[in-house]
Amino acid sequence: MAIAHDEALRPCVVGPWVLGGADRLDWRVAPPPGTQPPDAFAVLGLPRRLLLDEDRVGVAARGLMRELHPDRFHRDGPEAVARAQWHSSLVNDAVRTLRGLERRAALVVGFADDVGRAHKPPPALLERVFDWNEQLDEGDAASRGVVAAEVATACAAARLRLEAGARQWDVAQLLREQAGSAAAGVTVTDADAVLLSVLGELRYLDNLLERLAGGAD
Amino acid sequence: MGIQFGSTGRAQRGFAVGIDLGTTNSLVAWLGEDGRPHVVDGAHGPLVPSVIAFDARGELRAVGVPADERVQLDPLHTIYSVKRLMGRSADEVAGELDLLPYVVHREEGSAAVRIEVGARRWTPPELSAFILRELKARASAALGQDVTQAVVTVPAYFNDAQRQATKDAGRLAGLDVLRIVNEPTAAALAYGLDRRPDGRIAVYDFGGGTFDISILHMHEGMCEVLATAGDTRLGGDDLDRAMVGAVFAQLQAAGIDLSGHPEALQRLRKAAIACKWALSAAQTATLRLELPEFGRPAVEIAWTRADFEALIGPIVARTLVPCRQALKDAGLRADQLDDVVLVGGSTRVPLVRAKVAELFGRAPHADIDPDLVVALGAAVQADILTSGRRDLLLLDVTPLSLGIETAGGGIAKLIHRNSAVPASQTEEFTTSVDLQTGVVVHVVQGERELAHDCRSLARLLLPIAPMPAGLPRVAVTFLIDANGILHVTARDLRTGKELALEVKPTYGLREDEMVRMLDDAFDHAEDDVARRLFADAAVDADNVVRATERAMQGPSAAQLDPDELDEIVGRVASVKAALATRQAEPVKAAVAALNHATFRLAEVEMARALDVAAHDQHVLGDLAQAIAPDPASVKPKHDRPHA
Repeated sequence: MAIAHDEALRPCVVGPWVLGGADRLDWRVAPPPGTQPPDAFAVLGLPRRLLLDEDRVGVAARGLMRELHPDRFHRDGPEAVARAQWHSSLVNDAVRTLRGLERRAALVVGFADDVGRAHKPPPALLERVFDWNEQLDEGDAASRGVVAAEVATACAAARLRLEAGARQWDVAQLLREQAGSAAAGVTVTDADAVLLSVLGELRYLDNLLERLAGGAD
Repeated sequence: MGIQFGSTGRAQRGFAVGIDLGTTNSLVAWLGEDGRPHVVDGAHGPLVPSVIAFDARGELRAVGVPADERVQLDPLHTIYSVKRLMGRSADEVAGELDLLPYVVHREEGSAAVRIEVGARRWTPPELSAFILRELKARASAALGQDVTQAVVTVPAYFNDAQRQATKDAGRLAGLDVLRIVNEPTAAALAYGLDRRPDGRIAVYDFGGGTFDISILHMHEGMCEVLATAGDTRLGGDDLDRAMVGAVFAQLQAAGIDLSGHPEALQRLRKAAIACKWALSAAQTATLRLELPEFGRPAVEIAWTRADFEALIGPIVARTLVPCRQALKDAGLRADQLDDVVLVGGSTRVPLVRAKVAELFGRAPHADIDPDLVVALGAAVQADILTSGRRDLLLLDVTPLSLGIETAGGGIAKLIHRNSAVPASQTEEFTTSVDLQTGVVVHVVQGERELAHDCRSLARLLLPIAPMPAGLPRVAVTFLIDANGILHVTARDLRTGKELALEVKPTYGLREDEMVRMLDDAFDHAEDDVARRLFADAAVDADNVVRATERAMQGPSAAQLDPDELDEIVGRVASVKAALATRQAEPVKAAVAALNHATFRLAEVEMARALDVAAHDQHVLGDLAQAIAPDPASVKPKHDRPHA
């Protein structure tokens, strides 16, 4: 049968999401039930920085997988293997979440959830996107080339602003950490606002890029 | 032989072997005390043809080489290429059935297939279990202990249902399948153990029935798969089929129609395979086909390698599409790879090697035996799991995206292809109608945009307490484990309680079917031993009777007394009678008696054979003097079979 039946995995929520020394999770302690998993930075034990050296993601993940992969627990019985499946799936998920500045930015400002999706880009951009789509619908090769060039320029500009916003956010985060109120982060800072607006633009621009790439095949 | 505690490293609790369950050949390997993997050899070498022979009543006759020998004699009851049917639906395999001489049925009330042999209908996992049992017996005999645990390999591009079917087959064979490992990844592990490379490699795995490409990052004993792609319906079988098709058409044009002659078609298939092998070593080869059905001498068709390459060019080209896809998904260019490793018998075809070299811009690495490397890697993985060694670790990915059907038949992708496994994703569900008591979640696997274009895995029924629409909140967590197999759990977020999920798998075996088959296997365990002994004796009896009857029709019979002839005829009849008892002992006794009765006949036959050989020798000697030896005409030696 398609769904495994002989080693039913209990949905053990992992954690306890108590951050140990150096912001590292203590994987050995059982979590209180129903707790939310920690975010990707905490899972990998990396500092919350948007301008993160991506090599560190791979290094951290490989180090954790050496310890947490289910193959390491085979001799400890099915329960240990089941827990390791969940633990290592969290690590793998964290790696995916932290690959690429756009994804890291979406994570820290909560862009992936409903609040983020509701965020509308400025009307001027929506108008441009509408025009571009219209020109693509007409579909002659010359205007297609023009649109592709314009979208590429707009993307490059948006990404530069994303990097600038990220730098600003990293500085704000560093200050928050130094002030010792890392958990407070309730107020939307200027940096958050910049990131939200650029991510909103990029969502539309990425769709256009996809459309352009799809038509070229 | 008993278990020798302490004296050998393997005779400990938790010892496991590695099994390559192939479309064409299967084999088993284990990790020796020297820390290196070794294949288990049988009388015919390490490869066990993945062929199961039954008699006309549907009783098991033989597995492996003796079964393979029956393919041409009894095509309706000799089953091969079962792997192509594993975990697949009748609709999916419909296009391939013309390739298979045996009868494949759609099961009522299910999309799964059954293979009809005599009075019985078998599922693909049950048939694969026969092969696994043979490998288990072979390993147990060779290692002097009962082998009960194994790591079994599957093509990387196998979907969830195909993996689960493989696991079911292991269970039915009495094997605890510790892990399902992807074939190219297993190959990379064996390769990595050998050379400890640090860098990026591609494993190009062109087997008997499937094609896989995997891109890996090897780093300090970690084999991390970056991307994988493939085609589960593309293999050496397709090369054979192309050649068979070409010859079939050629014969048809010459007024010889092989359709409706399954025995002749099987002979043609075997001849095509032999010709394919020959063309890997030489520029020309002759396909020779006996055609007694048509009352004419054997047909001989000359093939050049160029003819063959023109024929198979499009098939080989199809393997390059997944290669490009995998490179793209890994975010690498071909020139960033440090090595390319070849796996699978079909990579012996020179055109395949040339195309791989062209695509990747480097000569592929081919000094590990492509037929054995997967099983060797599986043995290493078995050792990682059971010995607790920590110097090697496999990190694999899921080959296909996992999604759920949304309203309107679209798909919401939960876990994307080439995500590292284990991978998990949690989704929340609610109701759309007041007092709705259940939500059905349709889980699919595949890359297409619409649910009906993807592979349906299962329908989950979430039980919901009746409430106004939109109020219930149920979280369903999907986890793809390290085997690439999906696990689903559900939790009611309002109560925090875990929900019992009802799972309706689209294909494959339901749990109750599985339990029944296991009970069956258990009830018949003793029967099975007896049946196995009988089967072996019956194969023997068959060979002796056939040889005797052939000799009796030949000129040697004339040199025997009428009494001797009568005796032989009587003994042949008693062998046939003994076969009807379906007991091994009477058959063995009757065969021994027949052997005794035919002693004189055999002597006469032998003398005649020597005469003929001497005559041939004479003729050959004359020939040798007449012509100068030409190295190009020397028949190439083929001791290594293709997949």
